[in-house]
Amino acid sequence: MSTRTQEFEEFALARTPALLRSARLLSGDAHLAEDLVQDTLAKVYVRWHATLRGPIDNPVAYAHTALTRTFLSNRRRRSSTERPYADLPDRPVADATGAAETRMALDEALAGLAPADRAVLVLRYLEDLSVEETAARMGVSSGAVRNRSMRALERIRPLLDTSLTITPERGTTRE
Amino acid sequence: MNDHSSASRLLRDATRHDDLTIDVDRVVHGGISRGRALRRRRRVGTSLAAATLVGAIGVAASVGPGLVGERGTAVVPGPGFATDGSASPTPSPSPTPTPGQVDAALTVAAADVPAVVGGLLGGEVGEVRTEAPFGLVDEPQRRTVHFTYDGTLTTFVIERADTLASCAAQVDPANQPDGRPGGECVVRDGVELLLSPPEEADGVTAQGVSAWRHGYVVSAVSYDAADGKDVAPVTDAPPISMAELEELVTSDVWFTGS
Repeated sequence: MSTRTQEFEEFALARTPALLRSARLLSGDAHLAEDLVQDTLAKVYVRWHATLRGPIDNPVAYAHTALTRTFLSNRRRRSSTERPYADLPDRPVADATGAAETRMALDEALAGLAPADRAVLVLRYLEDLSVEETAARMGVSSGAVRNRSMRALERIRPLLDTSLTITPERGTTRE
Repeated sequence: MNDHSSASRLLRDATRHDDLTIDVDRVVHGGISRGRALRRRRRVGTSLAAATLVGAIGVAASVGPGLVGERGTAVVPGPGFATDGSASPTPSPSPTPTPGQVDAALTVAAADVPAVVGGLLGGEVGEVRTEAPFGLVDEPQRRTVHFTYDGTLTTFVIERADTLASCAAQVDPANQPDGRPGGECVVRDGVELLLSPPEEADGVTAQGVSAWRHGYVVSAVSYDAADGKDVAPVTDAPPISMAELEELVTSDVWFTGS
């Protein structure tokens, strides 16, 4: 294995869990998330081996940007297969009966968002990027990010009081 | 707790346990496998942001010798070419060859390409860039040369078409990181062209044209700076226009038997 490929593999092994977390929320499905991350890694791999371009200045940001844009690009192509919901489905999301139920409710809430709104949520609140950083990663204006952020937050507001934190001793989910 | 904190906590908690069930090795190796396939298809080792534009550059630099043409394949040497640019730059239509079918030999040595370009276009040709990561490639069916033209970087590449993705595949939005087309494929006078309009990456703007001719792809890229990235532009735009690049890559001077 070449040095460059070895370096890429080390980078990918270190970053893949974080990429998968974002991809999981973006795609709403574990298998789709893995597919999305593999597509992303493939694109980073090609850039990583670009002999004439020199090393990537910020590989972490590059990989996450590639993930976001690959997701949005894929969704544009598959837009006929999904539609945002007009309203969240009625679900007992705040009864704090466990992580699984809240997780399912979150998945449903995210699935009801437009892909770009979902991306804003993930970038702003999972990856903790600023509005400007989010805009740059998505290739949209800061104003668009603010609007989408507000809209997306409203959609998940019923879930915001729900905790998924595990209490290790009990192995249960409680605030 | 404000909305931002609450939302962050919700999303982080929701994904926390994914790590426990993911086979990261499998995902990574799947990604590498796809990356290798993508690289083979595109035959480029260049920026995702300008993959098509500078694709031809990366090919010569990054593709292993076994992947590009048939290294050492004997070709009929063409007549000597006068490097004063006196040969006709006028393109002649060439039928689209069967993939892999090379029906002409390359005539201009890589080191002579800058002089030919200067003769064709009239600009000031400077040094050939041979230092890493540039390098000069002069093989029977492959040429790569980087040089300065009017003080800016210029790249010229000829390689066998059957080692590259088709024009359509190279511009396919699905192969681009941003999902936008990677250029435009047109056919003029029977020659398929890939037009890569000006695109800025890493502070440098570049534009290029590739032509599918005689079983080869001839590509030329003009930059607005003396280097390919992270340097200040020295001109307002790449000095070799798209029309001139097209004239360059469709010229008959590169081939014998055409």
